[in-house]
Amino acid sequence: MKYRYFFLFSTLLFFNFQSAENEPLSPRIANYDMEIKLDTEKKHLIAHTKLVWKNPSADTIRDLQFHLYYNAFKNTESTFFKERGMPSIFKKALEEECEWSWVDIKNMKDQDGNDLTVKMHYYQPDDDNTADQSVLRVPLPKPVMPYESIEVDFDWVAKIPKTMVRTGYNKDFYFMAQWFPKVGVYEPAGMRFAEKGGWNCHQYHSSGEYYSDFGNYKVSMNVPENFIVASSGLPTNEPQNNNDGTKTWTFKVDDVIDFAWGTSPHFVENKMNWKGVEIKLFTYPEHVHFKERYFDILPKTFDYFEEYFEKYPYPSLTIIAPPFHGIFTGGMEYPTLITTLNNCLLPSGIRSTEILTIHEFVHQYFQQMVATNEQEEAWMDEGITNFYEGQVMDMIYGEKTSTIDFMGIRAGNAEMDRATFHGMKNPAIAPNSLNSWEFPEGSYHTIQYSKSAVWLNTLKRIVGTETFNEIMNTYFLRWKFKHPCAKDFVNVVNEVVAKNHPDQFSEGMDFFFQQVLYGTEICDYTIRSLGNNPKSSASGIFDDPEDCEQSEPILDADGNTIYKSFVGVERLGNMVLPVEVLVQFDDGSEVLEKWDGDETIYYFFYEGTKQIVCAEVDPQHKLFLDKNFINNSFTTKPNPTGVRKYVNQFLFWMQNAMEGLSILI
Amino acid sequence: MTITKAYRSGWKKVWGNKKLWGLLYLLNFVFALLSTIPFRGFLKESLGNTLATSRMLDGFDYAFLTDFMREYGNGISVILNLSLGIILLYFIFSIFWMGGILNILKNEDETYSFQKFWQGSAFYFWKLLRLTFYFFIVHIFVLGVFALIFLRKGVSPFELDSEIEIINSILITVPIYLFFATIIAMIQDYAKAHILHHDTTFITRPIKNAIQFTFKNFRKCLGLYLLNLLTFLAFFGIYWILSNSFKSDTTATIVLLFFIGQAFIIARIAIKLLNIGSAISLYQSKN
Repeated sequence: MKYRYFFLFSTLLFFNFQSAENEPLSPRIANYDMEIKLDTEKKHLIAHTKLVWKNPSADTIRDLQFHLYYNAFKNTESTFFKERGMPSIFKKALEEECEWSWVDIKNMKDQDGNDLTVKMHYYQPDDDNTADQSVLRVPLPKPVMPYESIEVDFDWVAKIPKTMVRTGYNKDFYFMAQWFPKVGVYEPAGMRFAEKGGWNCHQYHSSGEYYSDFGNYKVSMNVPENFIVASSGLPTNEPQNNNDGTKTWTFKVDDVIDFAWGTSPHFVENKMNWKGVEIKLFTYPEHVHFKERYFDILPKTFDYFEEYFEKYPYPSLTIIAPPFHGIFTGGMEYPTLITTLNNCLLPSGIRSTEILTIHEFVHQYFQQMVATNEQEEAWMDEGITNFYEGQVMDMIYGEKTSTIDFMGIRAGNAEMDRATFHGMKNPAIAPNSLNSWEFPEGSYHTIQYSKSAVWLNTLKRIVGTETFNEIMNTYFLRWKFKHPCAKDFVNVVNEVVAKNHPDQFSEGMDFFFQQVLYGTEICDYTIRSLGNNPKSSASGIFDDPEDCEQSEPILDADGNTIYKSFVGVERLGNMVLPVEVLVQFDDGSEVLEKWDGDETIYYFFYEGTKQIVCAEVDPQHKLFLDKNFINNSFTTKPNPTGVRKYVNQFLFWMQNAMEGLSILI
Repeated sequence: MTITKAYRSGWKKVWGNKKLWGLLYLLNFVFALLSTIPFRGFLKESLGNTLATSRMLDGFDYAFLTDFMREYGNGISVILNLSLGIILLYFIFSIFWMGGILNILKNEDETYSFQKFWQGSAFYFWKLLRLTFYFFIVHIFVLGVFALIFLRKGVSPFELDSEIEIINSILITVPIYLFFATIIAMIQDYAKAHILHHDTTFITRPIKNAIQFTFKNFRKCLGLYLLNLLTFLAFFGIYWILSNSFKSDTTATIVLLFFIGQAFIIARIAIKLLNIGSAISLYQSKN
């Protein structure tokens, strides 16, 4: 009996694997087979790549374009450094120690043996900076025909930067991210609403990360034998000892848009398993005690995404927690590999470790699977990720304590995003729809991360949690392992909202996106005025010029004064959104009014024996984008208790400050 | 004189001069009111008629505070600048009053008199002002030296292996710095005692004498200082426990918290007097 079940189980398992093998998750456009040797003396990568690239279009393609990310750190004339300037912290490494990095393709051939190096040249699709060498254009002697593949073999050498942005080495810690010559994305006509097919291969800019096609990776790394490798994917076998002081580690991962790895002799490996997914955490010895913090939140995060989207489809997730000297490589997302940060100086109530881990994990769904163009529409991965980081953090730690809960100071994740966005010198400085490198005055991060998360939160509150979840689920399932753009997202929102709220939003949410995504409008509603005036008869001279009529109060049948009451609601910002107004009366009754929010000022009038005691615009804070919640309400009688509390505290601290300073006497 | 005798003598001086104690508390309270009253007016004006005030009662609210600082920050910064000015003014006046305090605490059986207090304040002001200035410079210098020692290896990830080095550096330099700062504070206390008993034109002599006295009686001086510090910590602990034992979200609890806070301020002033009084007693017993 037992054997029969075992046989049945084995058969099912076999067919399951077979189907996984036969049904790729992604279109597998760019497939890499790489052999890498790490030279720890020269800090070089000596490599051979075999790329099999499939033309995804009906176009005949006459060139290939490659990202050479490490060339962004080659000199001060690169677009990266021209945009960013020389950060003072890197000045010593770059200018005094000459730790510039580069990547050099030694040779390149196609499957027919044609030498591709002859005509290859650096190319600058984004600016006129001819000194920038972060994109390489390789004209092909033999074009790639529609839907056919090309195989390209090349040797290359790269100098690893001293921990720069996202990648590099410091001491004996190495983290290789955006490190190998990587082919750009060929976007066929129609994809992301492109009118004609073409390469999308942007230069490496100061802001913005990467955009790539899906494919399979097999990477062998030759490293010193005492080094431990942490990598995307899973090892194909045990590390092979080469008997020359080195070992070769081979990893394989399918249906991903990139590949990253790190190595160090000091890595401590910790493992856990979640529903068949192998989770590996690589820390330095001084950070081992952070293990519980990772392993506590990760299963909850995996569960959350399984519930709201679908089960994490890859067999592994690797987490590298860089040491203090590798800090600049922390907080990045690569397929099946993320880097976080932890620091023994920070108390556990400051949840930066958890935030980064969850944030980078969310990117596995929103960038690695729904592979949006991070350089052109960063809000689609950073904004959505920031939003879900907040949702998961709030779910685990509570919405008022999800980011900081330390010594009485509490801050929630979503409210921090809101404060960050509105705390900008000019929150209207740029819309979300700009290319990453076009954001002025360093506004990229706040607009793309914080503002996007705030307006997604607003969208969720306006359309309701259920509809919002349906939107995001539909969007994910429709666009996973593809490259959607903003318009695709908006279309899904409009479709689901119109279906679920035909009375309220029959024409979709374009009015919302025009303001929050393509516009820079600011949202601020306030109660402008509020009053209760006793109703009285008219006074003055009417028919008889000799008869001067006096005003008299009008009473109801029971002799109660009748009041004409009003609430004036004002739109201070230029963003127009539908809003609710809660009016409370002295008999305890309440009225919830709805206003389209369009006029500058709008009044609600009431007549009766009861008086208004309080009015609040947007009482549930559905408009999370509202820049000032304090002015949302107005009460006829002041409530002094709160003021007293803060006055008392102020007095006490003032007295202490004065006494504290006097110890110097 | 033993440490405990000096400590007891200090308490006796404090207890015997309740009027002085009360006057100092009153001055502290009045000065604090100078910025608290505008703060109250500002809060009432900006928040009084909103529901935000009742939400403030729930404790620290990040969204409220950030909205408040952003939207009403200009008004707050005016009040903070005013408060800073008042704190500095109070500091100058405290130097002035210190002369009066010394004059009253000179003898254990001396009792407070209005005339004697102001007389001492005027008489010792310039000397104490110079003494405060010199010691302020010394404190800054020592702090600077320790900051340089702390930063000698840097805090850059390019220089350090791990943040453990920063933690170790903090664990070593901070206690040593605090020890040095304590010695400097002790010397300053005994310099004041010297000024009280020797009418010298220059204050270099009291400082020199105080250094000699402190190091000659180091264990006693340090023991007494630590005992006074411990007394302060005990009062702070009591305040901390009491103030955190209930939620201040009603007028009654806010009033209760007010009285607990004021009791702590009164205790704090008493400990200031205790520290000076006990140091004077120890100094007198050895000279």
